Amino acid sequence: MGAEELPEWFPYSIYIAAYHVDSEKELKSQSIAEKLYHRYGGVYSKEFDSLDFRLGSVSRYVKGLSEGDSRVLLIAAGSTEANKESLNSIPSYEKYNELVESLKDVVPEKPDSAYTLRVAYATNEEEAEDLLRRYIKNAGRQLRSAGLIRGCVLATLKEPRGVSMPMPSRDLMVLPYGDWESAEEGVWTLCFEVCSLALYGGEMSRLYSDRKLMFDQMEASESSTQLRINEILAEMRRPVEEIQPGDLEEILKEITIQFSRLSTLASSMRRDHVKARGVLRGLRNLLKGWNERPVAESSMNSSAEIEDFENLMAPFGDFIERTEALMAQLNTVLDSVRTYLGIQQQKMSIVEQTSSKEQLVRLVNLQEILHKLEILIVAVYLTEMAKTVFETLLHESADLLTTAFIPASLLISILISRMLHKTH
Amino acid sequence: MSLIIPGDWFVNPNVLGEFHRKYKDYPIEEIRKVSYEQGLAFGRSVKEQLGIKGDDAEAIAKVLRAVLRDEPTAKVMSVEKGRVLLRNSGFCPLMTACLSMNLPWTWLCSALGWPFFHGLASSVNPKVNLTMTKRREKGDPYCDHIFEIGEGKLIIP
Repeated sequence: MGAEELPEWFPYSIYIAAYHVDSEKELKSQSIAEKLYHRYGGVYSKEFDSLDFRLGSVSRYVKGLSEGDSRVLLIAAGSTEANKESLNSIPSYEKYNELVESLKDVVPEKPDSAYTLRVAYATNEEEAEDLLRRYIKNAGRQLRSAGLIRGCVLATLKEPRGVSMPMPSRDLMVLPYGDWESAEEGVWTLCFEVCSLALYGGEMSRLYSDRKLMFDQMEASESSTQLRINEILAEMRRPVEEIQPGDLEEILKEITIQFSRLSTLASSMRRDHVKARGVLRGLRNLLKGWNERPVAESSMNSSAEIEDFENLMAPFGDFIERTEALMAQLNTVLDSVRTYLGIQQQKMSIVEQTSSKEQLVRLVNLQEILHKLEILIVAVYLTEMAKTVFETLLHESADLLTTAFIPASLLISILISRMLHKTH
Repeated sequence: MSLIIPGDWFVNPNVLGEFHRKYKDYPIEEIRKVSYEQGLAFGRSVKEQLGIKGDDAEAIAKVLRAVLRDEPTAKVMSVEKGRVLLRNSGFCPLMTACLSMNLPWTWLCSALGWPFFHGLASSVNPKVNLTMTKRREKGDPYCDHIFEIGEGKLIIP
């Protein structure tokens, strides 16, 4: 695969948009460059997904770039004949802008990021800076950041007041300087660098906007959960005997639900935070490669971009910290419930112990009564046997002898009982 | 269009994922109809199981309480003068499932949540209106569902 040849004309107005695509659907559909080729003709490259075509005096270039589920579309309009008249002056962008706008109907409506670039050519760095100052003054705009990159002054303008733009949306001014050929090449190279920037910007913007509702809701959800935690803690401050095991069970169930929910939220947000960190890492690497140098006292584009990305990434970390703080509180509640359950269990086991001690005393008493009864039964039995013997042998004095035998039978009975219990 | 939505769909991320995958490309009104019918059927079975009689606000509140008995973030706040107010606050199950499975929260509430609850209440009285007076998707701190006897409409102001 050879390197793609850059268009051989000077771009004045450029629009770069990044958007998310469904990979499966995208594979089946025609690329935007191909669609426009069927409409306008020109030089189309399937390999590089680009189209270079001309309408009247204006040249146009469309290129698609892909990275995972993200696409970037670059639309540029410019001219081959404008070098002399546009030198050290701000060209009229109207006709180029119109032509770029006319192609936008093929671009998805809500891009994740959009960059508008306007280009003016200067002979040297000082002229380029002067041209930038003039442009800003004439347009009534303010400078956000500027820097020297690849032989161009690249300036980012602040959003006009009261104008709501898609996030992130950037208005850039590119001022190449030096000889015409290298300026032309520098602008195109910078265009592709901005395409990579748009990819990262789109990815970060999508990650942020997908979670924006969650970030917005954090305050209210946190307050309501906090309120409930306070209610539970107040409930737990009641005397132990007033809290029923059923109440504790309900509280435990509720805490378990809340805890698992917060844990899911924190881990899911952590996943997105890691993704956002990856995007920021990619952006840092890209900007490092720009080797940007400062222009006058303005802040550099790379620092401003990194700051913006970090600001978009911050709510992810904040969300995680806040959910984890709630989880820590729920853990405290859970500990209180456990302590209460432990105290109640201890109380129950003390009651159980007392009751089993009483039962044991009753059992011992019963056993003693049984022993005594046993002695009596054996004594009665022995007396009856002796009576039978006396009646057979000494009939007349049988009653007297039987009466006299009673103490002996009691004594024998006690001895037998002791002998029997000794063996057990 | 045939997906049985279980009564505990709001705590079941797999059901939500399947619902989104299946219906994401359908017109919203069509999906709402499916969700409403599922809520209606589920409400009828709850009514039968618990022997809930009548068609007033008390009966609607009973059905809602029964369905949401294990959900700490949803609470019937008031039942008065033929009007039931159900409030959803805190970290609701739908919010959690949407974040964990990367599903569109707003779409799921609008296509599944509200019509399902409208269906539940309609099992008690088919003339009940559900008005979503407060919605978190538009920045309110909680979602307020107001059930009132009317023309049997789901109103999203």
